[in-house]
Amino acid sequence: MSIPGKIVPEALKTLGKDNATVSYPKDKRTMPDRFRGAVEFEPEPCTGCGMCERHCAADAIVVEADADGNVTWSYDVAKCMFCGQCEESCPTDAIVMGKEFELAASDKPAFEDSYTFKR
Amino acid sequence: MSEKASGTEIPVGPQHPSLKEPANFTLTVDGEVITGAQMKLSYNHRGIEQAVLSKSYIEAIYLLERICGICSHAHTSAFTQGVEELLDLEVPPRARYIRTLIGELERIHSHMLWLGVAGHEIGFDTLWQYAWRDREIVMDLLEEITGNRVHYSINTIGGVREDLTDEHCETILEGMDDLAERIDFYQETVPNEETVRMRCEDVGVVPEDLAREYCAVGAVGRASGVPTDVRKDAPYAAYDDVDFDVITDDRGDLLARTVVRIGEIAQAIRIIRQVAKRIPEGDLKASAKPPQALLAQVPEDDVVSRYEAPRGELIHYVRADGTDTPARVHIRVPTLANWPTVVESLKGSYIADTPIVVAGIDPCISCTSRIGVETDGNHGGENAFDLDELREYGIEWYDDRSDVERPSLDGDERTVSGGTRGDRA
Amino acid sequence: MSLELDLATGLLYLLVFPGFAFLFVYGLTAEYLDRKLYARLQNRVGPPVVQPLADFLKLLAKESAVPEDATARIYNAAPWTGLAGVFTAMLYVPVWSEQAAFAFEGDLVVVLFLLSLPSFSLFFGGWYSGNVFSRIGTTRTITQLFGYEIPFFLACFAPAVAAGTLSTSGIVAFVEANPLYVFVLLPAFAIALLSLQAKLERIPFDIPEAETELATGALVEYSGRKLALFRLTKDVELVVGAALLSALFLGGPAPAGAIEGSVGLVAGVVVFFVKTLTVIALLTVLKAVVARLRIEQMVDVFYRVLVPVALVQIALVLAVGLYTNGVIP
Repeated sequence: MSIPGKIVPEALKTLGKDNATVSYPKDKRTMPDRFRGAVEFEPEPCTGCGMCERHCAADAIVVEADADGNVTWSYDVAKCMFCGQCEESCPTDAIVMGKEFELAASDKPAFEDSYTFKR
Repeated sequence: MSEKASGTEIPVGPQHPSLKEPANFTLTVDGEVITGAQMKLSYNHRGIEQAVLSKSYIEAIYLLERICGICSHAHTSAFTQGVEELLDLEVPPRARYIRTLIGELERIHSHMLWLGVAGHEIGFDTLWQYAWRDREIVMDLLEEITGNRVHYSINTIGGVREDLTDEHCETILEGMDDLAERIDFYQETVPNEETVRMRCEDVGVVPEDLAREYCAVGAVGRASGVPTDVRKDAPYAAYDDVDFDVITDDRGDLLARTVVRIGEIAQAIRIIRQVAKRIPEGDLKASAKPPQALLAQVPEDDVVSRYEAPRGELIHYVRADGTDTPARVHIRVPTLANWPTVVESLKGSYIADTPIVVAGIDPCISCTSRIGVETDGNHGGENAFDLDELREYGIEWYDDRSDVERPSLDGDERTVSGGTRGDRA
Repeated sequence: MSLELDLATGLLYLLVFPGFAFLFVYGLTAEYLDRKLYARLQNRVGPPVVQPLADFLKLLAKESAVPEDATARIYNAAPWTGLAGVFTAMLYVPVWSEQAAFAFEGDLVVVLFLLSLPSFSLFFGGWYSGNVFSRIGTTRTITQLFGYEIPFFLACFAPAVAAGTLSTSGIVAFVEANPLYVFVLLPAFAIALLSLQAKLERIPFDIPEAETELATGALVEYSGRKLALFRLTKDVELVVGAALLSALFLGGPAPAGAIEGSVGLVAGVVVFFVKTLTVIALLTVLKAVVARLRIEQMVDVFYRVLVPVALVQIALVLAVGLYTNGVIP
């Protein structure tokens, strides 16, 4: 039967419930294991193959090599859309999706990350 | 405000509190009754179909995923299914089950979101808050399984990227138990709340013949008694292995759409339970080859892929030219198919019903806003522009409005148009 | 009593208690309690205590624009008239005892009229602001006014008929003396609650401002100081309405009214808070559990359902009166 105020019992029950949200900067949820945050890079295993750059839809990763065999791997977290394809495409597991998600900054260079190493 | 013989014209949108995305309705009203409605779409050309052409098939998945923040899995599934057909890849059963699982979790989250929005549009904010709170059960599950609440990025060409562990299956079943309890509550209360009935019964009615004539899809069609559902009509993923009912209703009003959507959540729970209980063992991807090797094999061909998104039938058309980037991608989103029914059902309604009638089809304007610009001018109606005409039109537009600052072509400098024209043509 | 003392107490009533200062503080507190309870009913956290004050001060500091199409004089004056109306109305509603700050025979009619002022000020402000949404909103305000005023008046006259007086203070004294009348008047109380909800334009009767349809209707163009005044009017109207209902239907300060001296005064004020907050809580729960009606549905409910019930209530009151006076055995 339809009556107005059908949810009164539910509403009164809700009064006794805990908050549905966490008080964010004070309390934080733990992120699940598979959470995809900012990319973490390890230069040691990297071969400079450039697969990550090739498969990055957002052009957040750039891999450059100079004549001396120096590889520069750079990453712009502001462009990144956290799909994780670079991690998937990397043949040597040099790229891992990290857990960091508080990524706001007020100056542009803070978003950029760059490694130069010899190959 | 312009007073005409036919009545007052009220602009609704493009910026309006009841529409969070840009769309414009011009309502002609006589008192509180709407006598005529016109709609304008595409305030925001996103150019996503063009952008896809510059990306490889692998990158295109993530780009297309971002068409919509609600049915992201629908877009990637439709696209990858198409590419798999081009490549003639057989997706392993386990991957098909995982796609089904994510698809149904997404359906629940989309329908719960809609239930909340519908509540808000009729001024029932408590229902809105409850629905969105309970939706978090699904969002948490999705984040747990895929690593993200909205853009799951779990589809890849030939399969899925993440596996489902036994613990996941257990958490899913527990979550479904909690959710089933909540859905029972909504099924019991929402259609039986008198004020909801008053607002939704016989409002925004789309009769069956109109739904068929305008090719309404998804819950809108089903609520009008048209049992269209791609999951049954042309099963993809694991839908031919699971039992579920297509929920229909023959009243065609907003209450019917609400009942159908809540019923579909219950069916989705049923599907998810089956998937979690009897997901087969096996590979996640059709081919162990690295993606780049797969992309090199895409033949010159075209394909149409259909998917039952939460809002209805979604169609992706992909034309491949033998390279690793598509030659054309076109997307027909369910919202586009349902818009005409809105314009029809607005006529004769009250102004007060506008928000809920518009929201009743669960419109996704970000999906729909992808107008195409005809570049060769061969086909298309009299309103079609080619690029030169479009430029000419732009220049004239600024010339007619001498008080509007014209954006300069070079650098940061901006010039105020003084009525001179054609200098940029 | 000397003239100076009279003037001093008058000013005290007017400016401090139960006048301006008290209403300002209690209005904002009531808004806080209303919002907090509403939030808790929805499983939300809700605002902190100072939020209504912070909103008010923030609005005061903002630019208060006058639209080009508006009739500036009416547009500017509207917020003040409504606020003045509700502040004045409170002076005729008993707070700490059965005696209001000011009282005369027939003041109930004045209070009811003063409580209608905010709706009219909203109408004038909205209509002359030259915005299409405002105009539809104000038309709805007036349609709604016709919808709820008659049941509201009828409901408020039920206790007046019982007490045989049109003075609020007299009615309070009567109900205090015959506490069982609280039960006889329950239907009228329910009607008055619904009408007050409609008067305050709250869900399910927030049709004139319907955020999702009209983008707050009459108030669309208002900003800054003038908007702050409109919002304060709503808060104070809520308090005055609750005070009026508790006086007419719940026996005002009873049972504390019988206590003499300053203890009685304090007890009366405590009872006042308990009763008004109960009324406010009832209104908040009502707001949380239903959807917004359409304007014609609202008028329909008030005319087809509440007016007949109110008439039956008055008949019932008359019958009970005749019975207690021994006219009918």
